[in-house]
Amino acid sequence: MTKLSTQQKLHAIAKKAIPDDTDLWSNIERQVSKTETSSKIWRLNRRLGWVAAAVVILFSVSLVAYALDNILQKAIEMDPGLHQVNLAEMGTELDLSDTIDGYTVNLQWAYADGNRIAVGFTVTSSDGQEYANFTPLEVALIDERGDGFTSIGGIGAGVENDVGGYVLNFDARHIADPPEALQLRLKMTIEPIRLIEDEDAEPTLSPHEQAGIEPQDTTAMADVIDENDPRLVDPIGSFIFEFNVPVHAAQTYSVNETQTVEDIPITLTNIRVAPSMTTATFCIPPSNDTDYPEQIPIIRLETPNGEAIGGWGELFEDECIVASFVPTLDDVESPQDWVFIVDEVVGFQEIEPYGQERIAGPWVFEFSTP
Amino acid sequence: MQEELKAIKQLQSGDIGGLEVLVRQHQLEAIRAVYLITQDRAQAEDIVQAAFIRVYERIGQFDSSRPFRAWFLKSVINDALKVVTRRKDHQPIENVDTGEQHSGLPIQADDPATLIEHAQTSEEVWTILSDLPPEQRATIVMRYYLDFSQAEIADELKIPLGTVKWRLHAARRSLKTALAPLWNTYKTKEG
Repeated sequence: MTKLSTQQKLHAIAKKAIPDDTDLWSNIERQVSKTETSSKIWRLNRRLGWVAAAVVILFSVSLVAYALDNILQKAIEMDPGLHQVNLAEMGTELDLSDTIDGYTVNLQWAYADGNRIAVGFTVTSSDGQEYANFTPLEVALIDERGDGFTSIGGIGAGVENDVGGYVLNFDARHIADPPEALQLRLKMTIEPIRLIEDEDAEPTLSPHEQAGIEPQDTTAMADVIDENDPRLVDPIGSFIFEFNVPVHAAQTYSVNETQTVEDIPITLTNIRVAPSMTTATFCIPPSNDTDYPEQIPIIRLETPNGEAIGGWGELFEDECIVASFVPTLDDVESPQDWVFIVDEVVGFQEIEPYGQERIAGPWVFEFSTP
Repeated sequence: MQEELKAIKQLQSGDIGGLEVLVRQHQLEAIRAVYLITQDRAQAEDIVQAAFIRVYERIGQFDSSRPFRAWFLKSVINDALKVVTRRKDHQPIENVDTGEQHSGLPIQADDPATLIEHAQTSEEVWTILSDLPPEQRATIVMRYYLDFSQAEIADELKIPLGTVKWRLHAARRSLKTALAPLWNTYKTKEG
């Protein structure tokens, strides 16, 4: 049998069974959207994840401030801002449990300041199976008036001794005059992922890796989102908790100053200093350079003790960016002279050869806080 | 190729439009190749669909200096092999009607032997494929359906070139043996 005739027969068989109009795109698009939703809350704070993973080394020797589960403690330690407020015992210990279909979510910890609200919880299962993760999904946090707080990502420390530990963050910057305490209602579902080792499976991304967080275990843990995947369990919930949490005030300083370098004006509008995170809101006009339409500023904040700390930013309202930093509590509590610096603005090409154009600054903003 | 590279870059920057380009470009060939291995259309579609979703999730790991087609097809062939091996049955799942569909193929109408072979042996090929061990079936599909060279098959399946040659030889021998009675029948009639 010649190659050609075998080839013809195989093509004929395949073409007969799979017609030319076969199209998987709509299914794939739907599935990808589902995947995107599942991991959205983790991806939102991707940069926070990396920063936390890097900084966690600095805090490797830590004290246990509360009787929190060890795995939850680890998740908190992965976020440097939450770690320092936890060490200072500024968080609120809770012990609220909700069990659905054998899965128990135990809300153990909450923290709130003028920049963010964080909740820490563990997840366990009573079915005797091992789990790789219990990914939180469809998370909603509202106050007693029904006003919602936007999720700004979370950190998971994985599952240890059959207990998963997670922290979720919510944006609280919109509260102009925060009350001393917030009455909150947290609602969420979880997506358990069973631990089924497949020796044939290629090492792949875990949900933590997808979130930009250091993986707990890279051995044979495939994370293909496949409805028939035996590792996946349908989302469980909704788990609902109502609780009170004291609010640590943020100090907001209006700066409203513009610096221009290389014909690029950058305006620092305000700084909001809070124990778990300090935010700087600044605005850059959209790039006029059609070759490099995407631009990213490289920023840092010099604290009153002269330390320069890097930050990460989220774009909002097209031109403005909220940059976040984690100064020490000493800096936060004794604010004096601060310097916010945009070292350079890097333009990116959207098409080949995907080059960069680096516009050197610096744009320097000095300000004092009383 | 340029369009494919652009789609990959698009996808790597998070634009799902890049995935659509890749799906439309490679889905048919991939589903058909997997179908020849699994012999189950629904399963073939599931495998290819999952592979594209994996592409979406792992495109950051893809080295765009490598050809996407070979990388992707290797991935789905491996997935198909896993499924078939797990199924642990080499029985044909369904038979293919080898009737009118073949009329469009470039056959020589004046050659009765070719006509007989073409009209009847597609089904025979299908049956024999079913009886082949999954690894040989995958090797046949890669060599004769996807037109990979033996070296490419060895490279993509991460097996020695000698193993590829042996699998192809064994598969060809099975096909030849199975088709022998048919050929004899034709010769008897002619005689």
